[in-house]
Amino acid sequence: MGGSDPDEVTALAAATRSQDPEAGLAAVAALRALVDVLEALQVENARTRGWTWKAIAGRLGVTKQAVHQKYAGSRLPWPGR
Amino acid sequence: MFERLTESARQVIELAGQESDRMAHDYLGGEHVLAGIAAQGSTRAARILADHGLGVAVVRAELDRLAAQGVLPPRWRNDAGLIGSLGIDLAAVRRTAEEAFGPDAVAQAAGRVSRRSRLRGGGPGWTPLCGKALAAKRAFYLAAVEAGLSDVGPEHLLLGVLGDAAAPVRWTRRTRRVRAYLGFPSQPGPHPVSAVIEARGTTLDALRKAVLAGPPAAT
Repeated sequence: MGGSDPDEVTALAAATRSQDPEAGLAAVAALRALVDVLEALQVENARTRGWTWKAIAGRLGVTKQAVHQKYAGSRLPWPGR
Repeated sequence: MFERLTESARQVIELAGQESDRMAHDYLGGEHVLAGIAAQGSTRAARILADHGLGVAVVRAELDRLAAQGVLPPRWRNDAGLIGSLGIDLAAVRRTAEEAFGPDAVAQAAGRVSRRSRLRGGGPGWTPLCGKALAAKRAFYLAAVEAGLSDVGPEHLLLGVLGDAAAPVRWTRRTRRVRAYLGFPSQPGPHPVSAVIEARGTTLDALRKAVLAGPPAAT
């Protein structure tokens, strides 16, 4: 997308440096959504490889209930089920 | 709805995508399609726009004005730029994820995460790995309705864009979240397409009548 233009990134970096909450908050929201997708990919990959919810939760630093509630049944059926 | 486009209409969609890129937007909206139709120049739809004072240069200038006013998301408001401002290269993250898990798995995970139900903790509505948001979906649907049994041409796309702008729909919770994420103002204002068209003294209705008045050309 057009946003990778170096000028714009520099302009935006300047905006963030000048502590504009509008840009700063939007950047954090985008980063959080990005991390969410990466987490989903890793959790689903771990489940495919037979990791238990408990083991996954331990690595993520959350309870197994939390990770189970967020991801259980959210993929296509696991292999072997 | 994309299978039934004429060659000319396909080109409009492509030009609309370029218009969205030019404005550094993360979505494809009716306003980009309008600019795409105008940019084509040679079609009847483009001539109608030009006859009403809406040549491609005018449409672009109006879109840039709307972005400057905050009616449309400003240039810096896009995922690659925002995440880049934190020192992270979004393209590199995407590439790494796609190499590890495959492009389909990444796209599917992005879709699932953005639509995650409230029972699962809720999703952000949109994520940086979702690609361009298809905000003009309803305009395309209306264009297909206008075309009926024939293929969708640029004139149908114009009618679809005008129809979508003329009858705003109630926003769902998800629409509101995605709009906020993309950087639109939180209060519903005039539709950007209406704003562009009315800035040059014409109306949605006048354009619609002009399109319907002419011969139903296939292109």
